[in-house]
Amino acid sequence: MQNEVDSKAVEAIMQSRAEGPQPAGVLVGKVNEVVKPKRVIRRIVDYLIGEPLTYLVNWGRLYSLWPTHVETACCSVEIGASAGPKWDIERFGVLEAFGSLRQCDLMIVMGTVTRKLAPRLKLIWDQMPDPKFCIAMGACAISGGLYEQSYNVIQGVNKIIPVDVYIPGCPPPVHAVIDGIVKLQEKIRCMDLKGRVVSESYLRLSPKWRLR
Amino acid sequence: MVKPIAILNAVKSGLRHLFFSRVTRRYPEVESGLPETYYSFDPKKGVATAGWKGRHYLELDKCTGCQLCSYMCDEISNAIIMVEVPELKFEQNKKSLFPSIDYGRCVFCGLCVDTCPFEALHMTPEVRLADYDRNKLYYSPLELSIPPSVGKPSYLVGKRREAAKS
Repeated sequence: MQNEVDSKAVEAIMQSRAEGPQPAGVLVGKVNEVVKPKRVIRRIVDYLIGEPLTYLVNWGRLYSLWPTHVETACCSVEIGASAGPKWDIERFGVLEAFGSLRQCDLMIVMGTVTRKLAPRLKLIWDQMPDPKFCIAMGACAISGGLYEQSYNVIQGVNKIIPVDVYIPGCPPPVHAVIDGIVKLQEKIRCMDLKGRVVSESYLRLSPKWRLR
Repeated sequence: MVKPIAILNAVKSGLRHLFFSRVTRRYPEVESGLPETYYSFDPKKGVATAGWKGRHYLELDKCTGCQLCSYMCDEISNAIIMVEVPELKFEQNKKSLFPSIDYGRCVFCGLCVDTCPFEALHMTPEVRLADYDRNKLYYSPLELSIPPSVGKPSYLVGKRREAAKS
């Protein structure tokens, strides 16, 4: 009895093979779906106003990343180099220094974060207005780096605050810093008005950015 | 007291800089500023020669799984972890142990390249390693085995220069 094959299952498999691979359920509209007027109006409003508005707002956020520097170690030297005329990060809208915390979008954590500094780091992060982004730069900020076994150093900033982009290196060269900023901009492009990431198309980067 | 002619000096220097060549590099669009050599071990001299330090390049058919690189890294940043990859079978590596590197911890000191007695590890000029996910900074041996797109080992280039001089 065990060797007998269920004929219904075979038919189902043959049918599915004849039809070919079907797209995901999200894309396929239901046939007997009741068209609600409210939903149609919302879609039209989204198409006419929502999408251009999010594009405009994201465009504004992209090219005005004003950073607060949390400079505790040698990574700040590389930021200084990238702010110079040779590698001008002001082309991407990142200012080299800015006065007030409360008008900043971007926090660049460069260097070791000790236990004493951690509450201050959280305080700085809370003072910044939404939407805000964080870049962890260098091995110390990502995972503790050389001070991994130290009792006094926090192993990674992502334990305190959410991090958007990690830039590895000790310290990362200017090329890597600019690359990280460009990748952050690609992430901001996929956000909605409230600052949440909607699509995940930023995760598959073009090979142009991946190499070197 | 500022002399009024001093303002003219500023205008003069500004006009002069209009005809200078551009200083700023168009970096993300055009690759620039990277040396063509990468950090690698010179077997004849017994010393690793200077070059660009980026992502590692692992030659799978040379690696014997001796774990010297991970022992070396233990005292510095503990970035190299030996991984067993049963799919990869080579004659010289019967246990199929290969190094995998966590770039969140790596400090790019190059000591793993120095210690490798079989010259299997090199450092490539690929420095664009930034990522959105912390877990994607762990590179498996297969990812490390991708050869660099640009560049040559530094000791080869040094030889050519010496030959050109003499």
